[in-house]
Amino acid sequence: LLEQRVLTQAALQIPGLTLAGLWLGLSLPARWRALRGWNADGLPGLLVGSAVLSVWMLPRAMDASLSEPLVELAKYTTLPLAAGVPLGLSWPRLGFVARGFVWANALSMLATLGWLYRAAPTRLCSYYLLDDQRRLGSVLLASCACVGLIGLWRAFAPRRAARSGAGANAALLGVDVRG
Amino acid sequence: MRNAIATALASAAALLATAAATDGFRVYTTEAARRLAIERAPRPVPDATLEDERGRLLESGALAGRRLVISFVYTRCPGICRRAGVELGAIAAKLPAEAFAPSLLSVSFDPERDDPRSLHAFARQHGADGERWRIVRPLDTSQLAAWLDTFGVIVIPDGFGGFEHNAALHLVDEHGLLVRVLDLGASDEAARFLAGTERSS
Repeated sequence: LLEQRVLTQAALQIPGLTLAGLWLGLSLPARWRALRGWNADGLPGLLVGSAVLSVWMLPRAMDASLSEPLVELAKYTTLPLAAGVPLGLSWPRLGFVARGFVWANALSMLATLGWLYRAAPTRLCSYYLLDDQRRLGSVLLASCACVGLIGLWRAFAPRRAARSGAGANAALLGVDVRG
Repeated sequence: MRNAIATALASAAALLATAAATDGFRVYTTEAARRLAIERAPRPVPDATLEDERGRLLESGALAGRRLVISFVYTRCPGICRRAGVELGAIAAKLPAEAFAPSLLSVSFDPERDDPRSLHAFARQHGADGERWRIVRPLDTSQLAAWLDTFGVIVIPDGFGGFEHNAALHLVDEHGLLVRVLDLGASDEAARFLAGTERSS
């Protein structure tokens, strides 16, 4: 049902499957996160998770998941387990700079894709209509604005820990500096 | 140390996975993938019985030995098929007088509604002469399905009684092989292909 429109596959299904895995990864015991030193700074997990996620965002992969049941099965398993879980495990271990990098990239990716999908004169997915593609573009731009607002809120919302500049940055990046 | 190794391995794996998923960073869409696959491995066009706008029957197998440019349409199409019609007209205008008949085929993927009358109206609208350029429909739906599959044409209903589909110029060589797919707009190249002044594969 979610795959009947490009809007729901790209804006609900893919993020939904990934967030499910992310939540699972975050709720695993904290001592597992480093994976015995193989994921000490979280970068390996971030790399694996974001690579898997970006492969599934390719128009070609979105088409293939509609026409080939095996590809569809692969999507349903790898998005939560190979994208979400590694991201969830790694996020709490990521340093300051890496988190800022992820925020900046998420924002610029949403903005660029949204603009591209709204402006492209031809269809990027062979199985979806051009109108749907334009709608997806608008939704991606709107989510870019939402994510940006969440980031701003986390950076500047009144919190006792967030008085200094460093504190604001720490809040944006989800680092607890109160301890 | 472990972390550094894991980071290096993860970077390599990410790069490899992305390269594999994009045919070496060349192909991001299904349309580009089909064009690359056809250029690498030209596909034999399956036999089909086609009916043209004057009700004449045409066996596609009997067309072997000559080069063809094929595009897919449905005659009620308001947008891209008109573009395809104009494009085939431009190719027809560039054909030498001694060109084979037919060299250009507009193939309807909606044979149920596109009877010879609608095909004829489409032909008149676009100036198809009915000889070198014919508007045809496959009579057998399983043969139509085999053609769409071979050519990699994906047709989806647009919810308003029409269709959206990937429109392009398909080049079939004298051995009955689909050798290349060109964008609408590449009428010069398609005309050169028909004239045989460009290598087909």
